[in-house]
Amino acid sequence: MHLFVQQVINGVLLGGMFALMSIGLSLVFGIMKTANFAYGALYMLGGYVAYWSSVLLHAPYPVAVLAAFVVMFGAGILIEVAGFEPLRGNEDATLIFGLGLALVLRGGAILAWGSQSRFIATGGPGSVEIGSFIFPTARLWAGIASFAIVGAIYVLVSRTRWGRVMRAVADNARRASLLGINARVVYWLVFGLGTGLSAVACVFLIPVFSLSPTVDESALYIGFAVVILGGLGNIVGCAVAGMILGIVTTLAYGYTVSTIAPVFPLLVLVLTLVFRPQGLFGTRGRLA
Amino acid sequence: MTQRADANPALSRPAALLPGGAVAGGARVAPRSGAVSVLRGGGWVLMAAAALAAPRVLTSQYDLNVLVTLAINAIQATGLAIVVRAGRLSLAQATFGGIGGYVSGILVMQYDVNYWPALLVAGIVAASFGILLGLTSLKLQGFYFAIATFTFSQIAIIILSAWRSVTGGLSGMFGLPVPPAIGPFDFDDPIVYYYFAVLVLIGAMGIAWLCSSGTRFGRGLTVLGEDEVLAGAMGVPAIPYRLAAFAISSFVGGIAGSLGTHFIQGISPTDIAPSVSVFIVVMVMAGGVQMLLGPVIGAAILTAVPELLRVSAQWSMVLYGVFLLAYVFFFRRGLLPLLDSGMLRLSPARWAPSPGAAAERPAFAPVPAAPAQAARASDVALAFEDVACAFGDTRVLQGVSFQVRRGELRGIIGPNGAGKTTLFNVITGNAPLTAGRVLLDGHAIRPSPARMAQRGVARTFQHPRVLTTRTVAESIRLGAELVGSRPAADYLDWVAEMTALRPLLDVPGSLLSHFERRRLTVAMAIAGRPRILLLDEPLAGLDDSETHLLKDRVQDIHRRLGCTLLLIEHKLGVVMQLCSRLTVLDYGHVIAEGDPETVARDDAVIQAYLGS
Amino acid sequence: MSDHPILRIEHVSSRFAGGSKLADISLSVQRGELVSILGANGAGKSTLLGVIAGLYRPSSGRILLEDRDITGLPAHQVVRAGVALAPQNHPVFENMSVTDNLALSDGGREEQILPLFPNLAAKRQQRAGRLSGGERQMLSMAQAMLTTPKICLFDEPSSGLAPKIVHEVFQTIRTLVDHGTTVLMVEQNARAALELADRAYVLEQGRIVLSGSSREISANDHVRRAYLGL
Repeated sequence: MHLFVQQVINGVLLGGMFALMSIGLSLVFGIMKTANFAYGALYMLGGYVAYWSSVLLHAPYPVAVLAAFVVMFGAGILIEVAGFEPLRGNEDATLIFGLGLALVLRGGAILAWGSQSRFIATGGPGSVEIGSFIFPTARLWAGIASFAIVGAIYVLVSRTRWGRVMRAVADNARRASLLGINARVVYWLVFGLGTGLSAVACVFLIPVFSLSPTVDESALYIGFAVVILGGLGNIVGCAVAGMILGIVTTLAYGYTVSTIAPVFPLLVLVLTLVFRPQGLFGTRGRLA
Repeated sequence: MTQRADANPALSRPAALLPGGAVAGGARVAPRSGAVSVLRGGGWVLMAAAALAAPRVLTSQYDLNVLVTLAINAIQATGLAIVVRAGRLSLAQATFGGIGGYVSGILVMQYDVNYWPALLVAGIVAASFGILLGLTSLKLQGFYFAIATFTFSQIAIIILSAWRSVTGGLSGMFGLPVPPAIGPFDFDDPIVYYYFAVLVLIGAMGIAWLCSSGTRFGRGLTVLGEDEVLAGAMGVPAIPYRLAAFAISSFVGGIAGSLGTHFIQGISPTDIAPSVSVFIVVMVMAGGVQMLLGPVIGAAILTAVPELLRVSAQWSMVLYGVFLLAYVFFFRRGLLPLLDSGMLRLSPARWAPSPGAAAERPAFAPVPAAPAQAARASDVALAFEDVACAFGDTRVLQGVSFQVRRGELRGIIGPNGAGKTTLFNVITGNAPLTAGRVLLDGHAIRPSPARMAQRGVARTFQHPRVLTTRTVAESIRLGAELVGSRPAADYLDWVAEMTALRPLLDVPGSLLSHFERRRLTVAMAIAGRPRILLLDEPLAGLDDSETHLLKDRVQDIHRRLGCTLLLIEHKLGVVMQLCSRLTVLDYGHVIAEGDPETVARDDAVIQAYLGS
Repeated sequence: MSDHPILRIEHVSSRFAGGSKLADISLSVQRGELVSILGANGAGKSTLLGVIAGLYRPSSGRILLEDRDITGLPAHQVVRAGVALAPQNHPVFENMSVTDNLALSDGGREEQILPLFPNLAAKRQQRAGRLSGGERQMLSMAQAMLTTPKICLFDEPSSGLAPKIVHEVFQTIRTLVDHGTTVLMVEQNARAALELADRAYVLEQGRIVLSGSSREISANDHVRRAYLGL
């Protein structure tokens, strides 16, 4: 029983990280209906921005995070303007553009920085004990930070004027433009925000998952799994789906062979796709 | 895609430059000029010669290895293109290859099975997994389907890595034997392997041809890939067709994978990673998916270029990515069409209209229209009994009951949102029949689009749906063929004449104006000689003279086809003139029925329309 | 009523935008007027409103709002210039509450505008997707009004609504006009539109074939036959 509870708590923490990993994708998918297959690569790139600003420029950790966010925010807008915007409405072209961009970025990252795993040093003890439960510090902090950021985004989307505008554009961009909202600019900002958030996610998760050019794949899968399970662009759904997948993952690793454990979260995704493609939180296109 | 202005209903048009350099002016018998055919033939010959001569020129062991890889990639790409043409972008082709490789490898290594039967089993096992993946495509499309294929690959990788006792786990299998010699041909010799792979490639291309322009099934499949709703209305059942496409495509994938595995004599889970599948997608897209040779050319270029440049795996990844980006922005139809936009297009045009068949001579014997009187039960072509249709809580139709007699021209009218189009959608299975019965010739039916089309119920859509990549002639022919009708050329001539499309026979659908599209949808609907014809606002968006022309044509078509015709139309004046009876819908209910004069005087109708 | 029009459309043509053609359309709306555009389905009524609102770009001609040329401006700038369109089929932001829907276009005039839409007040916390057709139309019009427009464009406010609700919607429009709003309205329901409007234009196949006061239009033989069923 104790083991089970420990696993579930670990799962919740991991779930928070999953939610953070996918929140940028979810925003872009939900509001712009654009499935960005380069998401994983941009996530990875954001991690490197932070890594190099920390290693080469000796930027303190918070500054590195901020730098990653700002740089990737700009990169996101650039990609939206040059790539996705002209292709909007053509699903196949959007998909292929994302795949192409991902290949270029990943190949480029390996060429430029090699394929070894890197860490940003955070210091501190290896694990903390709370009651009779033991948590690796890195995971504990990453999990807590994840929940904080996801919560902040939820507040942004559901409680602020800016969030209202985003939701309106997500719902019906044309109607929004007839109320004086410049939907195009909203798209730019949302894409920038989504990409910036992916960078922040990557930086926060480096202590747990490390950083290498191949983290893009797992970020992409987890991102899409969470988004599909939670429902398009639904932030609460994102958090809940992240937790479900997190708990399923930790329980699978805890109670089955580690070689076969990764199948279980994928099975959850397959079952969702087959039986409830609109996700757990059914209504189409609902945000927050 | 360009939009042409077409203000003139008299159908004069500026000469449009067609793919292949032909100029569309009037009706032309030969769809293509001889020079282009010669060029195309030349292209094929050149390709064949290059394929045959390659191992004589590139003789080093390294070169030969590249050649074999190239041929196997070409088989993979050709197989993948079959599904892509059917409208689903699969990112799991390498996985099917891997399944094929593992199956034959396991059979040969652990069960001492001869390679050749093992190869067949490899293909069949891959095909069964293909059907499994195909089943998800029935519900999913676009991004969701792409994710499903990705997930499928991931699961396959995990299982193959975990099942160590059989698959060798992460390190995979190695030391696999090459296929046993056939007579004097020893597969240890890469030249033999190469020629064998080319032979298989030719077979795969043959299969791809059968699955595109070569058979009715193939032509249906490509229509399905272009527009699923339209395909349904044309008699193509999406489910069996698409499953078949998946089975065939993954069969070819499994064969190619097995050949590749036994050539390099080993396989591991990394060989089937999604990124490898993406490479195959790049090959298909780069070459041009709509052409038989496209995937082959794509595979050739994308295999050869990195080898020629002797670049690392990372550089070729970047190269592939750049290729995809360039594809999206610069050559969306592929490289091959860029070279010759008309070459080797998978076109079914075989019916060449005879220029002499004009309207004045009766091109075919019209079925005499049924007498409008007499209401015996068997004379009822279509009946609705208490029909309801609801989407969730929204009830669109409720308690709709009426009958349409054989040969009748019935007008369905009502204000916006009354449920008229939904009524058509219920008949053709495009909308759910939530209660009640629809009877066709006195028998209750379970409507599904393709089945209804096969049973002689043809329809048009409110927004004209045409096949953008097909010419008018091809579209009309497909309209007849896909519902299983084999009309005489005379009849198709009459159809083209009737819809005033004769001058446009060689023009692709994408270049048609709104009015021309409208006429083409009518032409495609009547090409299969339907017994029941459902026309959904055929006159919407047309100006006076266009309306007048099409109105007369609708009458002619009804008279000479002798079919039962249901017409939804907003232009009340036209409906009053054309139809012998009207059914009026409002809020999903039938509020009136009768001859035009009676209906026009009906209080409920006046209220619904004028809302006084 | 001054002779200085709020909205003036000069020789506007449009070929493919919005599905219908428009040919050489000229019309004007004075301050405080309620002008109606009549016509059959596909005559180009909605396309015309779309062109004015900046959803489509006309192929030729000019659109002037109080002498400011707004031709070809994107929709969100046209709104800021003072033209608000409540589109056909009353689309609202279904996943947002009524309050949030209204807040989108809030220019601080809620107190003045909302009393004109009494049935929305009770539903403010509801999700807009659960509103009835009539309520959606009210919400859509209220949203348009909240952008502080110089002129409101209403596209088929009655479409898909039950007769009783249609009556309510038209009452509301009348009230808006009585409070000084200028309205250009497209309507299929010719009789009611003519009862309501000061002036009307009749659009057929993308051309204006008739214009005049509602009384004149109602008396026209062609209109009586084609639109009023008399």
